[in-house]
Amino acid sequence: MFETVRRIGLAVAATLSLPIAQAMAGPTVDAIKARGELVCGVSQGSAGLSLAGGNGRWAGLDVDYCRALAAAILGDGEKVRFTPLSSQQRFTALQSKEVDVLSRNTTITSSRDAGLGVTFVGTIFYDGQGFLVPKKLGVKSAKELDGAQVCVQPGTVNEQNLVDYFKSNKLAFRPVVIENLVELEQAFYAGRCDVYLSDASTLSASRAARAPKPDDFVILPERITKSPLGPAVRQDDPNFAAIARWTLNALVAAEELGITQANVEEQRKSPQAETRRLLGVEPGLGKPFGLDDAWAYRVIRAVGNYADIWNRNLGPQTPLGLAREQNRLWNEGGLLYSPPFQ
Amino acid sequence: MSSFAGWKGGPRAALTGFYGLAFLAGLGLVLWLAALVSGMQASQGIRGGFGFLSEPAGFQIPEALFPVGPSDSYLLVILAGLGNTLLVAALAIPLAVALGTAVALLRLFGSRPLAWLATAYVELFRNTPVLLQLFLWYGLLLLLPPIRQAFDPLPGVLISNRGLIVPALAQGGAWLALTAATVLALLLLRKRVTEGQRFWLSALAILPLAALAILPRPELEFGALRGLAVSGGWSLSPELAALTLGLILFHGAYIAEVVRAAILAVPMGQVEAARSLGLANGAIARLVVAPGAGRIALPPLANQFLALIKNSSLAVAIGYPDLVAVINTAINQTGQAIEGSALALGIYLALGLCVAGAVNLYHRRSSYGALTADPTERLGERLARSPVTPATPLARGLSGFSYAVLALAGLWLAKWALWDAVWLGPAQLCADGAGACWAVLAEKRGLILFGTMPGQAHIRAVIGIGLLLAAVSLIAARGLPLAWRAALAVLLALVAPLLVQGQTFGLSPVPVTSWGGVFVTLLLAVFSIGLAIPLALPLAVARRAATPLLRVPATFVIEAIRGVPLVLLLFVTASLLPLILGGLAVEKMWLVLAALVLHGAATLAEVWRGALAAVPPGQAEGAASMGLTRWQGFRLVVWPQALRIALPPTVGTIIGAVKDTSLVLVIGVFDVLGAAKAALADTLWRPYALEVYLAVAAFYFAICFPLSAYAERMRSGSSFNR
Repeated sequence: MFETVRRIGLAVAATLSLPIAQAMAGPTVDAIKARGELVCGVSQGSAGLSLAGGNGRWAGLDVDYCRALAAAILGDGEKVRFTPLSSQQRFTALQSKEVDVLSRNTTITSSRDAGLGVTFVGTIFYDGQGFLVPKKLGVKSAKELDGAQVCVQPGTVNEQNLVDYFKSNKLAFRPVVIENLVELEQAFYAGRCDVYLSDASTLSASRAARAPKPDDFVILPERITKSPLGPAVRQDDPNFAAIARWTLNALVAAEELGITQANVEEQRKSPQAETRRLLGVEPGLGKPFGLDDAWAYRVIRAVGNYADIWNRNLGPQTPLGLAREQNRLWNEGGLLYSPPFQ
Repeated sequence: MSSFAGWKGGPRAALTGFYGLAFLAGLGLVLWLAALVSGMQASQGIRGGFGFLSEPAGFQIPEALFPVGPSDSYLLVILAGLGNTLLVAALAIPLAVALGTAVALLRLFGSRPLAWLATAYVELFRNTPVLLQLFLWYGLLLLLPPIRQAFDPLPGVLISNRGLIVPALAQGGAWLALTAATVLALLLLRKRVTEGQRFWLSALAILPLAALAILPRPELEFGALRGLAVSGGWSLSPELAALTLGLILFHGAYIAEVVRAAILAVPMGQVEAARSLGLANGAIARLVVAPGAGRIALPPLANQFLALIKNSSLAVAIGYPDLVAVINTAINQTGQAIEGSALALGIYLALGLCVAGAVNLYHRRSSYGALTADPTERLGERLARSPVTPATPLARGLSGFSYAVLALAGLWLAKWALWDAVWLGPAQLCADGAGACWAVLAEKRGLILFGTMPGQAHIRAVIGIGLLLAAVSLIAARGLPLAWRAALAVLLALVAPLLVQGQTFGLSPVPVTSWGGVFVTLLLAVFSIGLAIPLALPLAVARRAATPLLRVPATFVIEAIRGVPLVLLLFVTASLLPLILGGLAVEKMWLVLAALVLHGAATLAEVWRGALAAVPPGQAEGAASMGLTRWQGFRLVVWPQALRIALPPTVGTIIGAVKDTSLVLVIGVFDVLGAAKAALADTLWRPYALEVYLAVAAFYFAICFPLSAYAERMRSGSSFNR
């Protein structure tokens, strides 16, 4: 009698657990596996973040994140299809399932996170908006910018922050709002505006490459807002969101543990428990995600750790030449911090 | 209407009933869509609805006709954007007509270098995308001196790259208005009064002088730089100036062609009748040719007005806050793409229907049909035989001067583009050089020519481009019968995308989403035109049908698609449709193509409707009396004549469709222009945007100019009434 009940119970459990086991991977991962590639929404061109090279190959921080995600799920960082999106269509493209993940220098805000049916999986780049001014304007602080004409891109949080900042300091301004960076920067360097407002990283890159004499321009000390950029996924698939979140964490954790693209094979022999777990030498990392244990190892092998990605795309050897600043590890004075893999 | 004859209450009541039903059906469709959208939004956790319109916008727009700030509602800011759109239209339309008319007259009657210049202007501006032209004008205006070294030709007038600043009227507007009204009244009434009354009328002139004592005297306020800001004065921003200038020059070129064709189509009989009445040449031009040409030119002119209003939505590219720019920002801040786009669609539809309605009303009242049906010789045929400009010494001197100016400009350009140019090498070499930086094209050639296609697909793309070009030249070629050529061309054109995709031929597949560059531009151009033509003919015929069952839907479809900026149509089809329907298993490329086909078909249908209307009704009646069926009469008698009339504007529409493919970059397809912009996102090479834009303009010109030359040959080769 008991035996019969036990058998029925097992059968029921088996029937129930079958869909549960499938749901572990989730509909997005299933779709990605069936398709054989990850579809990643990127910008139409933003130096250091996502930029199509002269040979048509994409490069940048946002791009490498997608390669990492593809390596985690599909085992190959090259199995990504990049879809360039304008700033107007980026959320629509994610909502309509045109892309699996939006990795497009997008600022994380509460209204976007809560109101658009999307979930941000973490911060990949801590930025902040600043002002670039010509030195001959004689301005030392943003508080002296009363009446200034400000060049800014439309529809970004920059534009809203600009309004808030000038309002709270009781300053007047007139925006010059141009979507295309080519025309916007042309307008600023020609003297159409007194000030160029953008993310500090964009400003220093622009000053280095576009200013006739970079020393004639100065970035004012004030950062008017926080501008954390991060990838987003649809909120209806929690497991895919978890994979996306922990892929980002794996990049940071690898840097914390000193695992780089160059030494990842050696590190697999490391005696350190955390390293062994992250690289899948000890079992258990993959199961909760519905992936195999070696997924984080493949991520590092494909794109390296956070520092590798930074140096390749934004660091001192690149035309942008950015310093890490806030984007250092937490124990080096920055904001990057990975929750533990255990 | 015959199908309604059996109805009680006669055809009129039936018609009202039909319109009522159509209205209800439309309303039902809108409600159904709204329910679909809100259901989708609820299931995905998206906040929906138009509630955001009453919330504070939180962003400031650079300029508006009325004061509007960040704490005002989205609705008010969007209305300010609409005001800006209307302002640009009001400024640009009259000036474009004036320019177009002047250029048309120069082309017809000017001395040779002037006529040549006019022709060069028309061909250059018609055959390159307007977006590129806007970039060019904005770039040039930015070359003006900065505000601190502003050019100061008159007291209070400042010209700089912050715009034009002129003194504004600080007070006394009432007095000026009174004076102007008095002067106007004097001028108008002068001829209508008797000798005795005239004295009293002159006494009116004292009125403004007397008012000077009571009303505040007019006072000018001079603009000047105080601190960082210019205060006082009235200013015209370089963004508004560049947009207006760009639209005037672009549509001026089209309008010049419309006006020229209209003048040439004025019946010679009318001119001769006027001459036999003893009228001088000037009077004939003013009293006979101008009104006649005006009536012929009106429908295509209205098309241009509509196109100008729609093209003003490109303002976002150079920073002028028009309706679309403002709504884009609102969409970005609220994330409510569906609601924002629906609003923009509705407003443009209303604007478009107003223009179309006004023109149709005028059209119905004027004797346009009678003019085009006049079977006598046209002015154009007479002009072709006798050149009208006698060479005076002054004209010869002017010609010499024009040649000299042209030669100097050519030399300067050659120095920049050839002698001083940097052809190859890193960006630093260009920064040190004085001439053009063609090295940027060499560096980025892969991206510009092929987008982000993988390397192994490049050779396939080249073959695909060859196949598409071969298909097009087959249609234009002579020799084989048309049906054979058409079938072969369709075959070649179909092979092109299949080959590039690869699977059909057992090659490694290259996904459609990675296609880009020249191949995509050509593919979209060839297929959008090829599919639009067979769709346009039934639309045009249906719109002219007697029964409202066909006429009303056809009119609605044509006007709805024509009235909406293509950018918006593309966004709705390629981005919103999949969202509303919960994902579509169709590549974005084909959705984009569908939008381009619809747009092309609606525009062509309108051109052909005009041509069908211009065929004298007697022709169809004659065909019927010879015992032909209605279809045979249409096919053998009416259509061939309509086609001859419609050929030049048809080719014009096709050129427009080729250039319109450049707008697909707004929804993230890397066509030639999109790839060029992606190339310029590279900070190192961004300073050399002009060279890249020139190369892209040259590419479009190379495609469009042969088409426009072909149309010109057709026009001069075929007479109107044979």
